[in-house]
Amino acid sequence: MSQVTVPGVRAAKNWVSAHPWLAFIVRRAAFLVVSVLALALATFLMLQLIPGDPVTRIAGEDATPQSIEQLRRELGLDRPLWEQFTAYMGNLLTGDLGTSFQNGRPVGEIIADRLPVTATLAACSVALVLLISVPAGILIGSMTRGGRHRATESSFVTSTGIAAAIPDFVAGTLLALVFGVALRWLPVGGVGTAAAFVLPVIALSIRPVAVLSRIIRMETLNVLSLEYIRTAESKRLPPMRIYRTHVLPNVLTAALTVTGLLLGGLIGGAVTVENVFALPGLGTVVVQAVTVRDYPVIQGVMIVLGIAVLLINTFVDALVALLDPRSVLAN
Amino acid sequence: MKSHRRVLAVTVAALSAAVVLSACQGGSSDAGPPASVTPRAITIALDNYTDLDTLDPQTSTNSVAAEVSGFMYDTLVNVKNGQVVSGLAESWTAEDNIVTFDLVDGVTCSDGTPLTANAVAASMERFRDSSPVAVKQTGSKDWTVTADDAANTVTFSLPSPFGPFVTGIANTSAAIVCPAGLEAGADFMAQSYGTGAFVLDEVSPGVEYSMTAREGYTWGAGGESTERDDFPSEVTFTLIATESAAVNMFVTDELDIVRVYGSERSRIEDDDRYFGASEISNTLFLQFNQAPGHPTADPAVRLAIAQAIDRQVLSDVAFSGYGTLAEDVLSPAAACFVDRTDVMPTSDPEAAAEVLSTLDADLTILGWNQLSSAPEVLLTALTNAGATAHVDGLDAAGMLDRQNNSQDWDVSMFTFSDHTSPSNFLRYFSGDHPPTGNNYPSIDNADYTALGLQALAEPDQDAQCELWSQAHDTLLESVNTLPLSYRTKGMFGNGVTFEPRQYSQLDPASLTLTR
Repeated sequence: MSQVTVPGVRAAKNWVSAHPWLAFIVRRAAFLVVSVLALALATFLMLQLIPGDPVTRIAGEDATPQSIEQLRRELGLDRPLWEQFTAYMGNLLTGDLGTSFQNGRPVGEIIADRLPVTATLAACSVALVLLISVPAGILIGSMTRGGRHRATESSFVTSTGIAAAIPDFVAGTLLALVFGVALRWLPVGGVGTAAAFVLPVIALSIRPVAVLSRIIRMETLNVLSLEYIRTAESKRLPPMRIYRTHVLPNVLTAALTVTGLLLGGLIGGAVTVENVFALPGLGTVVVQAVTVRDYPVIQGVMIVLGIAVLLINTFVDALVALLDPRSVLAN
Repeated sequence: MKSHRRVLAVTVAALSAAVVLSACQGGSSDAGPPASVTPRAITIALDNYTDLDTLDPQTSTNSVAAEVSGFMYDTLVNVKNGQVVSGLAESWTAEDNIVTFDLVDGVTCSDGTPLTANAVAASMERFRDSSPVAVKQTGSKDWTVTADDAANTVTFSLPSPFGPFVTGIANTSAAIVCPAGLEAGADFMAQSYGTGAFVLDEVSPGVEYSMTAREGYTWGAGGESTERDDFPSEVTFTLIATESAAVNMFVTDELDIVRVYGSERSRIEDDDRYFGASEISNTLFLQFNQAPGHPTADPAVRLAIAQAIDRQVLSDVAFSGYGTLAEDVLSPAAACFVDRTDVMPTSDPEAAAEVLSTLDADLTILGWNQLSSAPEVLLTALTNAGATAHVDGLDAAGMLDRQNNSQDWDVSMFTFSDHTSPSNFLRYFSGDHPPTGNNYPSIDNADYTALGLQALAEPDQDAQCELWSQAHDTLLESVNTLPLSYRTKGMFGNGVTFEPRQYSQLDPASLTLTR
């Protein structure tokens, strides 16, 4: 059976083969744009599904029917849904996230105020997760290679299994009670000092540390079983050199891909952890906004967090592509 | 390996000890006044764990803002322990439709300008014209106010007598804004324009609101002065997202005052290191949709539903044991409160079953999701009595929306915070259904409406209360509504004591440091 190839498609394939990096960038950029548009649409539609009229809530118990209708007009919520959406998308394209229904502040300003707290929390957690998971995963992997140290292996698997099952808010509450309330070692709330971030960062990192260290251990075991490692060992290369030049780069490629995914989870976890530790970040903002149906704030925060996750994943993909160019060519 | 086990054992022991300590802490006491205290800054968790909308007391629509504004702006009168006491006015007279206030001499605004009677009148006109609650608090927008600077009095001429006028303007929405705040471009989130005990210092919206105590403040509620060493030098209201986090911060001395509605209260209420007070914050009601076509439009069905339940059980479940059985539609702190338990239907499941088992309808129960499993307890009581019913669990915004904007409900279980004045109920329990009125349960009780309108026009307090009493009796006898439980909030101070005032808000002038 002969294969029919459309000339345009063939030309496109040739161009991709000739410019793999450019094609990679174009593909990621297109994915980013489509994802943001889908995110904006999904966020907008989801809010419509939440029961509860924001106007009734914001106007308060004392509102008269007239004042409620006036407020509805002022907020533009009397307009048809499609009109609200097109206005929202129009503003979004110009970078205008709207103003808060509750206090009239520009949403961009609210996010700018709160983003540093959430970003600090997420960045510190990522650093902690990588600092613990990578060495721990490689160490346990090398220790348990070839079925050695069974007890260590089962302890590791059990402990990380339990840690991976602990929800962020449970970990946060326990940490606050033990190290904040009982031992008084660390503050349990606020952002007055750097110490205030210690417990939230630990609470947020427990699960990712457990998950990532397990993955890195498995990846280490995989790499260590490969032919070229055995060749390197037979050449009596120093173990540290083998791990630094052969194991670590391969493990890091896998770790980075998973870290990108974990970061998305970390940002979601930050929402709950911020509320447990009274941190004034985007998480507390969005919970407050949902309570009063402050649509522009909810939409703004979701868009910003969504874009952050997409950018992080794009960055990680680029990093992986740099470390392992074959992945770009393969695509 | 042994050393690893030792480390593990020590770690486990340390964590266990910590957990035990956290469970067992408390019990020690530093009660009793200290030899001397130095003014210091205190931090208060914002009430209700929600942010405020604006610090303009007259245009705000939320109770959290009212409390914070109340630290910087004064009202003409205050209400403490159910009694009207002085504020910016030291005395007042109400005769027919004329209400006159004698102002306290020597009051100054935070910018140092003396507060004149004309300034008070101008502020009250702004309140009348811009406050969303002006009509509710004062009966209409058709009153006028005149000032006499020489006599230091302001006089209100009402279109008709309105009994609750004096208590109505104790609401923070009628707080006096000084002339600088009435000018175009005034920014209430950047500075304060009041005569209150504190002056706005710094605002971080959604995070905290800081204010500094002003000197020479001697016109607090009931004439309270803050010229004391044990008065806080600064107050910061901070937004804490959850009760649990707030109580954690309170017990670790990161917060000085906290208000707790739920079971987290049990962690601190018996600890005598802390000052504690309990205030009724709102009332849980069972409302019945009485619009034509609903089964609950039938008084027999409403009575049967009331008989199917045990109010005490619902009260206990709804507020985790921190609710108290409601005795009236009004809060016990309200004027005209009467224990009306005898008028309310008592539990009689058998009588309820006779009616409900023959009901050919699926009752829709709206249940607020902050009431623990109380809506499900109600559902069980109704199904046990033979009714077919289901619960729609909603948050506060969802409850307000469904109640006000739809007819898709029969029974609703929700709180009502407007329970401190009988006049507040009139617009919800009479008149048109939304969107043209506020009568969301579509109550049609002509006797209640007539008695309520008479009470509003009655200047004599005792006669007014008698009319309200009759009005509330007729509401309860017809089972137009059924009060279930008073929701209480625990108010706790760590090294500071205080007194509540109107709307269970903190009275700023009452703050007293104890260490």
